[in-house]
Amino acid sequence: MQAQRVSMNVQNRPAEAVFAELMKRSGKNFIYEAGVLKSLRVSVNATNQPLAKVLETMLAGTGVGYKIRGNNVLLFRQTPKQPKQPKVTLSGFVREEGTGEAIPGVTVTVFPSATRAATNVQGFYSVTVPAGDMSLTFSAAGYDSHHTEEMHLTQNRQIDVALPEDSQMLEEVTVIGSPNQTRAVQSAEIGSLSVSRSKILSTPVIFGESDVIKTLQLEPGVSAGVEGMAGMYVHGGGSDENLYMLDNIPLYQVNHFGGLFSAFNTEALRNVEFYKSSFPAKYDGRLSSYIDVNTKDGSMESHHGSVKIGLTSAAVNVDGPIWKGHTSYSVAVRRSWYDILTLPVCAIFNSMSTDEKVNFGYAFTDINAKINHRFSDRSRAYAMFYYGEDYLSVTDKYEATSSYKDYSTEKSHLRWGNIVASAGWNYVITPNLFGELTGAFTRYASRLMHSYDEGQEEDGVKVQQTFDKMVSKNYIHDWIAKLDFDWRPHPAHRVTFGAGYTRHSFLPSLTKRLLVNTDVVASAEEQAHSYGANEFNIYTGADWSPFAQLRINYGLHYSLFNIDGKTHQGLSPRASFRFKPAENWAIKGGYSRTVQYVHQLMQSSISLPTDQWVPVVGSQKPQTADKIALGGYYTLNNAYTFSAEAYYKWMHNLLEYADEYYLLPPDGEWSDKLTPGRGTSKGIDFKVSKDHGKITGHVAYSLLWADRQYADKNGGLPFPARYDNRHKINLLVNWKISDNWEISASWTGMSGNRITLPTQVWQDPWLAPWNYDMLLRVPENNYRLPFYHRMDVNFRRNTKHGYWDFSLYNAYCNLNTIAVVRDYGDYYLDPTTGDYTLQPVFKRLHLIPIIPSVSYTWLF
Amino acid sequence: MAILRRIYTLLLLLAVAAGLTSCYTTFEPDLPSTPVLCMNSQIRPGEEITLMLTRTWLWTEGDEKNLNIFVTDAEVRLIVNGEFRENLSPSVTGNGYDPDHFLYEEYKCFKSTYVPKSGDRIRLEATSREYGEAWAETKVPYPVPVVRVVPDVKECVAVGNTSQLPVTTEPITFDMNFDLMLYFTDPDVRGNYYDLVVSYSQYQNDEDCYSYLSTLWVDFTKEPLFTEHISALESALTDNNGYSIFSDRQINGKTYPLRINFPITTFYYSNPLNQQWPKDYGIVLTLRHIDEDYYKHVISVWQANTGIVGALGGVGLASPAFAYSNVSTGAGIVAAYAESEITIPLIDIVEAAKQK
Repeated sequence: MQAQRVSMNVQNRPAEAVFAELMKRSGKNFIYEAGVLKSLRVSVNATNQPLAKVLETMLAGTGVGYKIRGNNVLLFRQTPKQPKQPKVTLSGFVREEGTGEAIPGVTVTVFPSATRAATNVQGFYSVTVPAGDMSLTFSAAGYDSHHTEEMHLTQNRQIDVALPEDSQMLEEVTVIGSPNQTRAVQSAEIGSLSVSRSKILSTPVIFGESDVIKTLQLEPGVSAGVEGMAGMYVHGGGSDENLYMLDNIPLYQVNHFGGLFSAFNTEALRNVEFYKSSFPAKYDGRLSSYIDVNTKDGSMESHHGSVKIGLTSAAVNVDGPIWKGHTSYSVAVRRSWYDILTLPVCAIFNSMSTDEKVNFGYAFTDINAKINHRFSDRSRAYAMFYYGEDYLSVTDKYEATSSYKDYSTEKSHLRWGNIVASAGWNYVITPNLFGELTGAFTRYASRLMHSYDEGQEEDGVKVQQTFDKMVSKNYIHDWIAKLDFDWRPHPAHRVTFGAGYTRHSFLPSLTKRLLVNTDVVASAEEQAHSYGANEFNIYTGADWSPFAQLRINYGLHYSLFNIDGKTHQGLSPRASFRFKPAENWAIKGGYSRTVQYVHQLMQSSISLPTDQWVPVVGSQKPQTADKIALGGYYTLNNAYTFSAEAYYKWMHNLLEYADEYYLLPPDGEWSDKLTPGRGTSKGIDFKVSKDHGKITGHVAYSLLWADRQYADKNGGLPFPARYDNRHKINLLVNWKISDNWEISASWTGMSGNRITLPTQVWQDPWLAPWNYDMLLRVPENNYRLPFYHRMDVNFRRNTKHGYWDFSLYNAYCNLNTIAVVRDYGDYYLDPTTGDYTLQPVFKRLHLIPIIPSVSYTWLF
Repeated sequence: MAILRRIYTLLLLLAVAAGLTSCYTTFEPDLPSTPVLCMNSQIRPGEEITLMLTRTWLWTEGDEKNLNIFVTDAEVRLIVNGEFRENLSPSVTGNGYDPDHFLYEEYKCFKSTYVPKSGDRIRLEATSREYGEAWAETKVPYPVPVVRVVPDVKECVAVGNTSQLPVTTEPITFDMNFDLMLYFTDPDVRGNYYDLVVSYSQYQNDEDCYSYLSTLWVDFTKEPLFTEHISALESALTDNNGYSIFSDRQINGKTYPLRINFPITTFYYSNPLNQQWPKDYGIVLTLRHIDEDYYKHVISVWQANTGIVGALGGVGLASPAFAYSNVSTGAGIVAAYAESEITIPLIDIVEAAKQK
């Protein structure tokens, strides 16, 4: 239409008359506000010129503009262009006063524009605002707010702030909002949570051992698995579908003592970031959740420490400056007591036996160490080390004291655990661009050794007759390099991007056996096949708020996984939005895809040293999950947060042990024992939380349906997941009564776990030498255990130099059912045979009663 | 040691530290439970087929021996190598059980007139009006002959006067620790399975010359093939005793000496008139060449009873291990095997000890 041509020759004529004429000649409608053309005179001399050119000539310098929209031509008064206002970028780090620890999630507000930003996990913030007069406010839950004086800024400025711990914790004070409240109504994230160390410490748990995972178990949508264990099943997922990270480095084995305790020593922690529904583009590699545990940096100013002595373990933590203001250290060590407790048991046993001496012991150890160095306000480096190990040893020595001098020694040694070592350097490249370079090594390994040595003593010399030794081990080693950036080009726009490379080495299983029987030597080595894999990933994510009511978070994570000459690729798009229909309200929705290349083979619901981390090999495909979520949020008086989050998740290419996998040899090809499958889960999580004041806590309810379907399990038919806990209610209350006393209580109620309960038996054909009740196979997870409920209480008494914790696990001693067993009841008289016979019965096993515990923590 | 191991296993697996207690309450689970047909049969060449046809029963229904689980009104069809051969006839006796473990004074079964031979593919189909249908199929293996057996005596302590052996005026008791090296050749195709049965020949009691075994025990841990189904974790935490079942996974096509260790063997001997030693009395080694279903069934029972899967499944920490069944209903096992048998006279073992 713009190509339409017109001819016109007018000189200094009233504009309204000229446009009336032009309307006739061009056939266009000229639309303009009254007054726009008033007193305006125009000139033009055009012959067969495009209409746009004619208009341009005619209106040049008149202050009137035009737009051609189809058959309409809009005429409007042009507003004079304003000179561009200069902007300044304020950036810096927010740390804790006294310790220098970075504080993530601090809300930074710049007045008078009320522009907001939040600190990242390194405590870094960046916000760009118009130059001029301004002041800043830094606010975070648990800390006193900090307000700067009004200043006039025309250039970028780095402003580092140290926030003191909240001096009015016992008062009902109002703050701008905790990180979780801010997330609830401001961010576009769904199902994310920041957990502080103080919250973990105040959550009552079994044996008084504060625990990250057991704190997260109280969140809606998180199933705990077996009672007392540090299991985590998020939104119907599996236990190996959670990516646990220690300072952003994967940690594979996160349990001690079969899962009774997690590998995270609370004394070494700073805070925990937990994502269960929408995931930042940075994260991928697991289907269900991401847990980033950040350890303490150590104080740059003064030395601090704590010593904790509990019933099951002791922990020591020290941190402080190496070079004041520049370099700090933090070291935390935790070790269990069990081997010390079993010493007297062995001593008593051994004192009663002249021929046999028995020793057994179990212990777990965690060592966390970290060094930080600040090169400048913009440059910082750190090195972190973690070592965690479980050790089980059983030794049985027999030496005959009779004339027949035979002897035997049987030993079993089991060791399993992690090592993580990482080093990083982060740098504020420009005031709004933060970068971090990381190199790391992470390893999980287990080694099991069993030996038997038997012989006879002849003339005082031991002559070996039999020696049998079996060693079994598996490991996963990762070498990691990655580069991450955090760019904040605009207050309303934040971009993260980065890339990483991981070299994996897997040894799924290696068994060596040496048998020496008199003069015969036999040995065997099985399944020593190891795998090397290369994983490369690249991601970018953005958080953008086009206007105040809307915030959009979107990103893409792309990965390549190369193993055995085969390359898998995974594209993981992420998108979520937040819409604020009113102040303090938010509606969110999101979609995410996750890809998982490594998985853990577990024979049971507790953690065993034989649990192997293995890659996808052969015809296996990477596991994937697609998840959609929708949520509604409301905050009341900046104190209470209400949330409701619904989700639906589809899981593909899941891997699980097939039915009767145990018929294959233990050292056989592990991949032959697996079967691929799929699963779905859906549900809704409700939560009301209060983060400030004398009384804090939350009430949560979650509703869940989760099922699985595998080709070679349950006859290929779908079945409910083991932790398909349909209803789950959690209450957590923390009441700071006074400076000296504090009470915490939690209550959990949930639908029982599902188990497979065979009811029919068949006639024993007596092919084996053992009598066994031949069970008729039934549908998988066909029975739900009774409703589970329990309350835990913790009383804390603060003293001058530390605090006492008095805990009651299962305070009202409800003996929950953890399993169902087949057993025999009382004798009964059988009328047909006239014999008294034991009545076969089903029995519920109730295990854990009330458990009191006490611990003391000395602070210095 | 076994008790200790179990204590520690319990400690580890259930995380039961000091102060914990547990208790049980009896209940009846509200689950649908329908009995189905169960077929048990052990087929070997040269013997008529005997089938135990029973029904499954609810665990709480009562003890097996007090229940009438036998199904007698069924039709049982025998198909050999794809061709219908006959309907099995109801009978009241059978050889489906090991006599040592026999529980019933009288039991009901179905018998064939057909005598199977090695290489036969046997299919049994049963139909009951009350319990529905069931079928199972197996192939009768060929026997694998024992090449030879070599005694290897590690220790022999004789109580009594041995200077005049084989003539003894007074009875002598031998306490021995010895191996029998059983040589056999595995067929050169994969997928062969074996079961070693150890027994002893009938008690001899001649007033002039007699001997008998008072203790006979096999230590299966001394032969790697007998423990190939045990993982390192099971060795450490549950039971590391082996069992007589093994496969050709590691010995395919080879002539292999199976080391059968008798660590504590006691036998009693008397021969005052220097008569011929009883050559037919001794240890009987039976090498069963079994079908894969037989092997899987026994392995599954070991796993369910003793293995880590069964231990965890038994206390609700894992899905239970089920006994393997090759019957369409999931109940029962129709297995086949062929045997080679050899008797090692005790005198040969004594002679081997003397030479050492």
